[in-house]
Amino acid sequence: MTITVDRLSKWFGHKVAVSDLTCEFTPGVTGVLGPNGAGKTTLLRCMVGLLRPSEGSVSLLGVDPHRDPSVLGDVAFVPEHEAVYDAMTARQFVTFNARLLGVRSADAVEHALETVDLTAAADRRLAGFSKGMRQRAKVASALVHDPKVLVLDEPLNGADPVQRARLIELFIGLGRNGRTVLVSSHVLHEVERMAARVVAMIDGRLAAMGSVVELRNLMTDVPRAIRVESDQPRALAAAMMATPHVQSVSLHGEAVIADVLDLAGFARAVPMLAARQGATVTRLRPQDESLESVFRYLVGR
Amino acid sequence: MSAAITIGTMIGRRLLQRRVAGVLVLLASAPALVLAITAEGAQPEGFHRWMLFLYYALGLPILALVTATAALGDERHSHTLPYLTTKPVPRWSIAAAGWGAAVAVSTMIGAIGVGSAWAVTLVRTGDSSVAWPALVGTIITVVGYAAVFVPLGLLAKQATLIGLGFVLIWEGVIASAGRTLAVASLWRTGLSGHVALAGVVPTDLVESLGNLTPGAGGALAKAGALAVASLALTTWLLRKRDLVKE
Repeated sequence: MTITVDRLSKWFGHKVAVSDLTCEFTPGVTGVLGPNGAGKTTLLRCMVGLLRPSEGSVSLLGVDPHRDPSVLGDVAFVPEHEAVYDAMTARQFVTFNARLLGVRSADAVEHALETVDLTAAADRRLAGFSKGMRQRAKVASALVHDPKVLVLDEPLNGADPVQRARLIELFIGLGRNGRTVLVSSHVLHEVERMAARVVAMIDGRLAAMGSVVELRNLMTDVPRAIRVESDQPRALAAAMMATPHVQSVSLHGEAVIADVLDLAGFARAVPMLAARQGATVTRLRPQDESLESVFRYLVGR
Repeated sequence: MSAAITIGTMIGRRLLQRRVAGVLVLLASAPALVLAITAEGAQPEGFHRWMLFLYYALGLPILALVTATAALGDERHSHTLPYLTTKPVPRWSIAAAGWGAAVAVSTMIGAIGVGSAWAVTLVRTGDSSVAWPALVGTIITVVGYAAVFVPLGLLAKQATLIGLGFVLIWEGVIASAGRTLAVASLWRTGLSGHVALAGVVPTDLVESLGNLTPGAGGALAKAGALAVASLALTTWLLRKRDLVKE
């Protein structure tokens, strides 16, 4: 395991930000999700040693970052705040971070700037940068030492759609290359695009952890929405309602959306129902295996 | 060590680039202005006297306060501290960098004040010997104040205000009220070095020291001991305290 969080709790006065959270992170991209105040930022800050756990522990590459900060040489952290050293240029900012990480190579700095598409603006002061450009400068400074672990708190904030897409591709690539990448974000479809696994937090607690499909499969008490496209949707909908596998149906043009209680039974029944009705099923796909639907369920329950 | 230099250089530049740096230069240069326009500027004693009233007792503590509280305080309160504390850098390096930058920048600005007062005195009296005791006194004073105000800046958001209370109430009123408490005054420690090195000085300066014996070595040792304690405290704060908001 690259990062191990063991029974972590963190409170500030009477406010509990993270409560008894245990999870592990392996190479690849993991999305950290949760509504505002869920404790995502506190969790990430504990991981990189910015906050001390009130209880429990965090281990980074087998080491407690508080006891041995040298482990931070293999870690990169992009903080949520857009604060940077305004008087520095992007190149100076990345160079400054590189020096603190023991990287002396100017090529590494140039490569990091190039990776986030900031070469042309490298000699402009950060004070004049847009929020998205600042984010990219922060990401460049995080990449300059080729870290094993990247902890990124809302790294896509303020980035324009093109840059978002580039950064997402970058994070996916880092994950594929064996880096452990943790990304917190509010934008669910972007997390879904880049993260193989998600950790969902609600009120400081771990609400769920796993792939989106795994999480959806765990939600056995919620009917699954299956979209069935057919040339005779009305007849098919009526036939479906007669089976014990379906709780309700609704018609959407050529499609029937069935709230299915027993997915396996439903899958077996649909071909027979279609044959009996003389209907042709052209497409059948789950409607709610998106991260958004899973997340909406987790937050709402 | 190289990390401390990198961080110290960055903090030093940041401190010098602030708008308030210009105001601090003017504050430190106040004795030069007085010496230029008053009759006292025509005597070497005038240099020492106005350095006491305007520089040691007021200008230098304030410039050291404003600079030292900002050294690591600005890092914390402007949310840039994580760029330092999430790096594989020993915490003592960050503490030393903040303290070193505060001392260097305060000394630099103080030296402008001393230099300008010296230049006026040189022109009006022809005496060139007055500057270096004041420079030594500046360094001793700044080392002591940085030891107090660097950790204060890291701890408290209103550090400058709290520090101003310390300078004006503790040092300005309480420590001035009795001869015994004068020993605990930081600017008087610096002044004791100045007095010891200057030789002949107006009696006002010796009187203001209270029970403090003039001596540069002792003053430097006292300021140095404070600095070591301060570095230990700042390092401890960086290790043990949560220095980012929830």
